[in-house]
Amino acid sequence: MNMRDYAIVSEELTKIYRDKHREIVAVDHVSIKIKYGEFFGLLGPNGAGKTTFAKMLATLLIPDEGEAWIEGYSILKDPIEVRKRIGWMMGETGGRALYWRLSGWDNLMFFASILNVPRKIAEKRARTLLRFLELEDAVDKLVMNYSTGMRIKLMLIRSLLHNPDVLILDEPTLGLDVESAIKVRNFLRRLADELGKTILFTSHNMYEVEQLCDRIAVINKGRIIFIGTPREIKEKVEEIKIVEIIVASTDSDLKEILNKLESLSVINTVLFHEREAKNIKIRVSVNDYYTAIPEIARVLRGYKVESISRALPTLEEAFLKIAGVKIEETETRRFGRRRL
Amino acid sequence: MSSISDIIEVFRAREKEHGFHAFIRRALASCFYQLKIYTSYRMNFALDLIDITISALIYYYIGFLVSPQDLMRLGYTPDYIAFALAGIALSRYIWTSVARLAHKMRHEISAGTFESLAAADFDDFHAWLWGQILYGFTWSSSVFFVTILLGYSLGASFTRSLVFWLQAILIVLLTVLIHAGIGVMAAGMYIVHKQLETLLVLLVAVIEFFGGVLYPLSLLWNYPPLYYIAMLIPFTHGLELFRRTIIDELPLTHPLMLRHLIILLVFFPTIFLGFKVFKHYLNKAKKTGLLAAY
Repeated sequence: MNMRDYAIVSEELTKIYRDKHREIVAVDHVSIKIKYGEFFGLLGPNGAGKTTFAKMLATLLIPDEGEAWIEGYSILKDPIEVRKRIGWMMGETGGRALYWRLSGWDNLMFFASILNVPRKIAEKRARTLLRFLELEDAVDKLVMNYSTGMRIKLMLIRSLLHNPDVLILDEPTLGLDVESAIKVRNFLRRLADELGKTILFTSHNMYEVEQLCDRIAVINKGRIIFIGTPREIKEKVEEIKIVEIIVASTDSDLKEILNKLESLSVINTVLFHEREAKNIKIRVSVNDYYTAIPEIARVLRGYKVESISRALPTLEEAFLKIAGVKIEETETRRFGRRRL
Repeated sequence: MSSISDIIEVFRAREKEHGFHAFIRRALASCFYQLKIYTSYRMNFALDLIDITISALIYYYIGFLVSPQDLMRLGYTPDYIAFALAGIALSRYIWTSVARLAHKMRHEISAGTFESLAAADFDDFHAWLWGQILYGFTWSSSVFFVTILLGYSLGASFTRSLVFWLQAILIVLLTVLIHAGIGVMAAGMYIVHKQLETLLVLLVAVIEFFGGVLYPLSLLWNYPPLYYIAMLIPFTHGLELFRRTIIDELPLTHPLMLRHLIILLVFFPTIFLGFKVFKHYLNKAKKTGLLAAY
């Protein structure tokens, strides 16, 4: 295989953190191939190894084993060529990765110089991107006065100044408010679609990767446990049987309904409930649709049941299944509810 | 508001700067934006000026207690204020050369900016480090000039010859470069050994003590081990050359000057060694994951 055939290739990439008392395998023989122009999500819980993997690709960490290539350049043998081709940024923690005593504009111009971008080109790119991300009014303010969202947008612009072909973005929307997160996501998707940028995007937000990514790798405890499209992940876990119940009811009925559902032996657990306008939506996991649905209908007789239907698992439910975490255990922790 | 087509348009241009010009631009950016950060703390320079003025006044009055005959007996000028201010002026370069880079590294690592720089680094931090050395030199030079001007105004007998001032500048540059090598080395070591910063404060104090900033080095003749330690420190020779130039107007061809100059030149490879050591520790940090501390 020619390494230039792919934008990013990693082969058996491994990173072990060592101290006096222990070794932690943060990334364990990870092999991935990412095509040019692909929007690739690396999905995993905190501590799964996403950041360590991203940092190795960005040449900020040297692997203990394995090798990786960016557009055919080895992260070990040609780290400078790799850096010329990548734009790298971190989300919330990296919000500090700017000079707070400089203005937004000075930060951009400083990094443009460090990235060897001629001044005129850097200014033009910076202005265009600042306008696009609606940050131009704040550009002369010191970064210390920026909100998290503004800092993340600025870091995103900084990572694009030298027009890299590959973007390595480590949880770029972490800590953003909903509106800013949507804006940043839309922008990133367009970078891939319309500018052909290859994007490696790490996240533990299921919704985000489902919306954005062409392919997803699920990483847990340093190992890739699945690579595929968001749809393939869902299909892989179709054995998770979810029933969605929509009841036109009031909040006062909710506790009673939940108690009735939890008392049914055909229901494994109540996964989720939320109020939607005049309805309550409840998702439960079951062992068998054919016995569960009639039983649910029976105990909810007397309520205004809008629908009881089979449902596809969400990406989050799928991820938990792939990661080998028992869905009941996690949901019990989240909602503080025990299975009856 | 820009459209995506505007963005596509601005990304068409792909030319980048290369070679020496790019290196100079990166180094100057490192220096210039550091100066901007420094000046964003508006009281900084005023406080530094007050500090220098108070030091100058302290040694001006101490000068009345020092006997000119004793100074002459020890082989120096009888003018203590000139002697002390020359020492203080040059010692300002020592902190910025030896300890400031490690201090700067602490800020960069804790702020997370060091990782951003590392992801954009095209030359093992050479340009960035040279920019920081230039910044330190610029800052120290402004303090240096103020100290010398204060000296003149307090009646210090510094040379008024342009030739000897040019010689003095050459000596300052050589001394700063050698100590910057130690500073770059220390900055690299700091990335891995975070406790080093405290030791550097001690090192600067030791250098200043053995360099004879405030007392004639010949006083150490009575304590041979201390004298030999002093002779192993490059700053000692830099300061001797500097004092003999701006106070005694000795040319570099004078045997006493040549001896110190040769010893100082022996330390010159320190600057190259500094960058090697920095790279070694940078790679070590990349192996152990110490580039950032959130």
